[in-house]
Amino acid sequence: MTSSNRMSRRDFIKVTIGAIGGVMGVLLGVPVVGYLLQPAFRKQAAEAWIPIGKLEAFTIGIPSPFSFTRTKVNGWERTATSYGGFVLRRSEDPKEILILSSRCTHLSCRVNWNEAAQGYLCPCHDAKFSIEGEVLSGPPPEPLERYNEFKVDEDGNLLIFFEEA
Amino acid sequence: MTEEGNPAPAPRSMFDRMRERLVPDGLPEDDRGRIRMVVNSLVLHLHPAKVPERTLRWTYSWGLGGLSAVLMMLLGVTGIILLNNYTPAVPQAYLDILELRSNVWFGELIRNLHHWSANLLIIVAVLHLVRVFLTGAYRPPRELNWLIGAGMLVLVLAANFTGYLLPWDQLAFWAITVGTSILSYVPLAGEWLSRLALGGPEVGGNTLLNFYSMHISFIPLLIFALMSYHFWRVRKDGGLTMPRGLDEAEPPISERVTTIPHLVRKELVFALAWIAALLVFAMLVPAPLEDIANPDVSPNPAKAPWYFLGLQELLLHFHPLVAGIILPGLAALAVFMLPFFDTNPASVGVYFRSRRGRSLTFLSAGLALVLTPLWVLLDEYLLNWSAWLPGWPALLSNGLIPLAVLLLPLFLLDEWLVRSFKADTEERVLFIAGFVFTAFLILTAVGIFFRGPGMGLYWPWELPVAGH
Ligand code: HEM
Ligand code: FES
Repeated sequence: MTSSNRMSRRDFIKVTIGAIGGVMGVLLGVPVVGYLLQPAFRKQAAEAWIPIGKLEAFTIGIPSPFSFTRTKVNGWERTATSYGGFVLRRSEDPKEILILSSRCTHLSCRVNWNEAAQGYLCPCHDAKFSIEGEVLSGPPPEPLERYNEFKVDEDGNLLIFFEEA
Repeated sequence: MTEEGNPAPAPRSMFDRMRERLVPDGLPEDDRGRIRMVVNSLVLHLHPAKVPERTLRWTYSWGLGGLSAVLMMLLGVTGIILLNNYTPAVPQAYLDILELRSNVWFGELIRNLHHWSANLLIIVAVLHLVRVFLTGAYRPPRELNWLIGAGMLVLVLAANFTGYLLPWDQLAFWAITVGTSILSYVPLAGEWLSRLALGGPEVGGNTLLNFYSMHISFIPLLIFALMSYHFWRVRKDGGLTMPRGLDEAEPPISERVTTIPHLVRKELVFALAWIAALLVFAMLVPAPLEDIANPDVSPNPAKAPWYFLGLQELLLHFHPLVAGIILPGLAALAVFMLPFFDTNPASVGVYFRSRRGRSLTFLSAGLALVLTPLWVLLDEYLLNWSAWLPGWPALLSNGLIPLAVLLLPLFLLDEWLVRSFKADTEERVLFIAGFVFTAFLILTAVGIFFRGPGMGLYWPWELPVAGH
């Protein structure tokens, strides 16, 4: 190469290696970062009507627990996630039902109905929710979540509409 | 090997030849040989050939950094062999631990060693940090090594937290559920972060696999890399800081002695003594294991790992954004920034800097010792911010407002020190750090010894035994 005042041989090599290195860095970096971040974006299109028990099995006036498991199969890997809650029948009327999730809105422990305290108690940080799921004391910032969509089928099963957040 | 023309040397046994290849110079007989051995060996050359006698004093470093390294080695060895009997899947993980405990030769012992070394490592690493803090050893030129150390402490906590999930028992499941739920309170990215950590909406098989791969590869590799750099930096920064008594005005001149045997011998004795103690402890005290994880039932009480119980105690009193993110974030920031605003080289190597510094430290620790339990009791039985400020957002009424009320006295005390005693930066740092650290220790102790069912306050002897 004859001498050029545009760019020395050394600078040319520097720039070329820099550019190729940069491109390779991106080519490797994007898949790695994407691969690692993907779980945060994975949408589990999970929507379903889930039977949680016979309507008549739930006593009127007292919250009764239920739970169900959703299983996701991903290749050889099966992941089961458990959900639970409480059904409160206010009267004979199958419309008059309050269904609460048992997942504490503070840090996700499971609350229990306590008959003596007339409230839901969370064992983790001493929270108390009313029978309606409102926070009475303790650290949770929000009331218990409600399953608002539910129905009773011909056979008398209570079903809730489950939508994964 | 004999060569043509040379007289054949006396025949040597195969073992002699092997030894010559491995240790070419033999064991050194004199100081020159000892120095050469340090310089020529990969492991030993982390040390200088000679060290000032004074820095070898037990009562200066207490051997805490070295013990951390010993524990990491034990963790590495026991962890790698535990892998032979462990499957990161639900529910196999739990069954594997049961099998390990009952049917694998020495399985229980190896697991106990891993468990207790991991727990001891947290205590030892924190004490090491306290020692470096109290002797001002983070000041220039050692800022970078302080940062690396603090980074390693974060990684050690992460290693412990990810390891905690692996046995997949009730303890594991609920501690991780509560711990990772804190993530969802991070402003804006919360939901996203918690999904990323859990690999799904709840703690489950994906979380186990995630934590497992972090626990056995990424975190230990990073710790190993940082540890090597940490040691090298100790040398580059001129060895340990020179210990100095409260009444010595000048850094003393100390005689230099050869690393072999003076330093190496101490290290070996110390390491062996601790390994022996750990072995005995691991033989006598089994690592806890509860029933298999049950996502429908939170145990009562559901406690975090003991080293996070100080934070859990804060969670009882504050909105999660304050207790789980803002307060620990500020503390971490202060630790990382420390060497950049507290830089006085004059008192490096002196425990507590000066007599006045020592009094201030004890004063602040004493104050925290009285005020922290008082505050826990007040908050348990009298204060109810959310009831007093109905309709206010929980972040204010249960978070920022009580936080401000709590921090105000600390600010006032600090002002008082500056006004009445002309306290300088290093004295204020001692005072505030002494207060905050003691308060955190007390909160941790409250969480471990005084919290029972429903997270109510109990006397330690009234606590039901865990798992029954
Ligand atoms: C960086 C330092 C490390 C710390 C602080 C640490 C901490 C822990 C903790 C707290 C547990 C839970 C043990 C229990 O409760 O039984 C655990 C389990 C485990 N660790 Fe580590 N560990 C470390 C390094 C390693 C390494 C290097 C490996 C392997 C490459 C490893 C493999 C395992 C395995 C397989 C388990 C599950 C066995 C069990 O639960 O008993 N660990 N670790
Ligand atoms: S998780 Fe329910 S009060 Fe904290």
